[in-house]
Amino acid sequence: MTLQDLIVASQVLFLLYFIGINSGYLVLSVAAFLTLPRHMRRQALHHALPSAHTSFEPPISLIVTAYNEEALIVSAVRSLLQLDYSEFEILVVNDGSTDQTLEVLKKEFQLVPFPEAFRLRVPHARVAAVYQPTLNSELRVIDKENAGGKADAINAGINGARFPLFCPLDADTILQRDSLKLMAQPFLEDRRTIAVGGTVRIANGCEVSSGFLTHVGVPTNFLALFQIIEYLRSFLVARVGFSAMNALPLISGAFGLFHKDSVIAVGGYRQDALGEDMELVMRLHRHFRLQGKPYRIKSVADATCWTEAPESRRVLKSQRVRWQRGLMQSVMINRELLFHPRSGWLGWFAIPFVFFFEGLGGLVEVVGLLFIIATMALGLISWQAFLAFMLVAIGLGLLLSTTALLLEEMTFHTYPKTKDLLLLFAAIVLENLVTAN
Amino acid sequence: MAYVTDSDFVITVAWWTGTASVALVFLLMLQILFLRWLLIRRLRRREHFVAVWQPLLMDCIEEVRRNCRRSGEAMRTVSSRSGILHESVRDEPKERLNTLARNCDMDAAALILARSGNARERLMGLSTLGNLRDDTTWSELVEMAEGRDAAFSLAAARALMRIDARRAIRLLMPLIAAHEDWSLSFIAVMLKEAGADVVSEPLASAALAAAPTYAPRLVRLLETAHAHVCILTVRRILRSTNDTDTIIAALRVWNDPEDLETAREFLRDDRWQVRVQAVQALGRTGTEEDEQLLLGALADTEWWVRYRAAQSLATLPSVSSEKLARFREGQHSEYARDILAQVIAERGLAT
Repeated sequence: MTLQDLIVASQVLFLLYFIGINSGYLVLSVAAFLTLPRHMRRQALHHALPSAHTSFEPPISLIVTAYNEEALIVSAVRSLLQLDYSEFEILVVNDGSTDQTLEVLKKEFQLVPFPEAFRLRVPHARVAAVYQPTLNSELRVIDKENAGGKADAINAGINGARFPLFCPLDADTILQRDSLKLMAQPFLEDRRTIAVGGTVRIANGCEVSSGFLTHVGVPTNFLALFQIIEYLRSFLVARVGFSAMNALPLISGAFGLFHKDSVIAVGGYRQDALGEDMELVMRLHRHFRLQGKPYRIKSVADATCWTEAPESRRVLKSQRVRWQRGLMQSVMINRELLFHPRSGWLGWFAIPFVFFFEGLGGLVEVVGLLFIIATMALGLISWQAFLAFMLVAIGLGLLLSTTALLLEEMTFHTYPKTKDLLLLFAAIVLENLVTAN
Repeated sequence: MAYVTDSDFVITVAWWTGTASVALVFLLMLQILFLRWLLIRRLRRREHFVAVWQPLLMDCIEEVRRNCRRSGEAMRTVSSRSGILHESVRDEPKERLNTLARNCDMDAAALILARSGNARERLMGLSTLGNLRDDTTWSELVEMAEGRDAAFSLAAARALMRIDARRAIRLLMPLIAAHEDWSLSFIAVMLKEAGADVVSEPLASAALAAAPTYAPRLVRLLETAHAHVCILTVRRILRSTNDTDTIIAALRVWNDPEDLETAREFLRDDRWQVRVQAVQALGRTGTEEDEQLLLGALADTEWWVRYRAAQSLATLPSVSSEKLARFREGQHSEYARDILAQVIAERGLAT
């Protein structure tokens, strides 16, 4: 094979990659445009109803994992206690904190030891004690040994949970008051539902009071601003699109609602998984799909939680490296789903898409950039070709992000000031120019 | 061999795709700004109309006003505001709100919205038609209730129930059973609004006649029916079915002190989900005779059965705190002792 053959083969590969990723996003955008307005219409009906609770809402166990969260944990629990939902309990899992997390909880909520008949249905490290407040039976605290991961703490919460649905949360997650009601809706409407993912939004630039978001704004930090765009693309386009195909490969660890018995049936969270949230969702898909059991895993775009995004390159990089590794590992563990005759849109589209275009995307883009620089330097491709491909790369990138912003404006109007909207558009342009270069 | 990226065709396609994408981006951005402009305009108009109409509507609860001007936006605002008021008033004030609405020709306008508005307007139109209780739109609403879209069909069903619940309920029962995408909590609210007098008999007949696929939904809704109807229906269903979901649904609403034997029999069922419901049912209506049965269930292989059995035991009128503690001491099974300790602690904290 000559150098020329090698370059031609590489060009074909890069071109196929480029066509693949953009066609994939096109399919997801179309699916999101078809699904989201219909979903909002249904929600409008619920808003039109008197908001009295009925006995039909399934009770929910909120599992708050806490490792060294002494500063946040009390306000987090207090805000969760104010959520608008008919029946729920809060299980704080103190994951062997070395700070005063347990002590501040004991003091604030007057906790006393509780003789819980603990069931071991999914594995986790030893539970030292269970506590309950003297005045509030909606809260319990599970004090367990640290086993080095969030998965282990959630498993302890699952074993302690008394209700059929559970929602794992971080102590720094801010929920909207009505978010549980919205998340529980698919379980009421479709008995096959086993898991539901909400939308995670960036809280940087917003005002928070008493554990609730009181004013939505946009941050001044560019990295946080770029992440708003990225989250809009991910939650309003990709996940809504995948959900329409019952092929949602990931429910964010920050905000999901799961049918407990289904999660127990697949063995709970894996302690050795780097991305335990993604791995669990893929395993649920694998279990139900390959055994031919009917099920639904959905994304509910209007159920919102807010979280602080990293504003420094170092923290962001370490977060992304962790996500990337988690994604690759989850796909490898559940590789049986890939192109399996029974795996449908999930195995033939969603998982290959996230694996090749999100998992390997960074690598391909770096190699692609080096390749272009090298071929340009060697005079193997013309300036005209280079400019044409830059234009198409930037143009399609802008189109995808602007589509997400349009969906946001068509449905939620989250950002109240027009100035914020323009700033987000500026961030879209800047993000594309930066990533294209 | 030519380089792929230097092929004239590929470069031309790339140029055109890139240019078209950038042009589309600007069009989308214009659309976003247009939507924002519409939103701001709508909010301003709404504020203005609320300022004018809210006092009128509030006055109307006391006395009917006859003169009103109508425009599309005014209609929507009035419809929305009067809809909110409708949920919070009854009888005469409600009638006066309807008279005001008819004086404004809101019935005709609501029908137009229900037929051809955008999604939000259609829902608002359907809700207004229900509030106005005007049965001239009946057949059209029936057609809408039979439609495939869950939101519109359910909104039309609610409108029918509000116009004439007795007539609507028989028509809607097959739809309630079959429409799995109609939220049970929404239907329960709708049936409660109509009242047990209207709902009980048709619901009971439908639940008794339903195929196993549909029966659990209808049986669960029996809690909106009169207690005696619910008891008799559940009794008949439990004697005639072996479908797990139907039995579970029936035991959930079971509240029959005269037929305790049925619940006791289900304690011996092979399916733990059924046993859980049976111990809960006994907790609601059981007697001293059931203490031994519930104590037996404390050693069940399934945690949930043990837990609910302990809770049921603790709620029996014949079981005092001291007796519960004695029961715990007398248990040989470690599972039974642990679960009783937990329930005793829960009970202690609750008091």
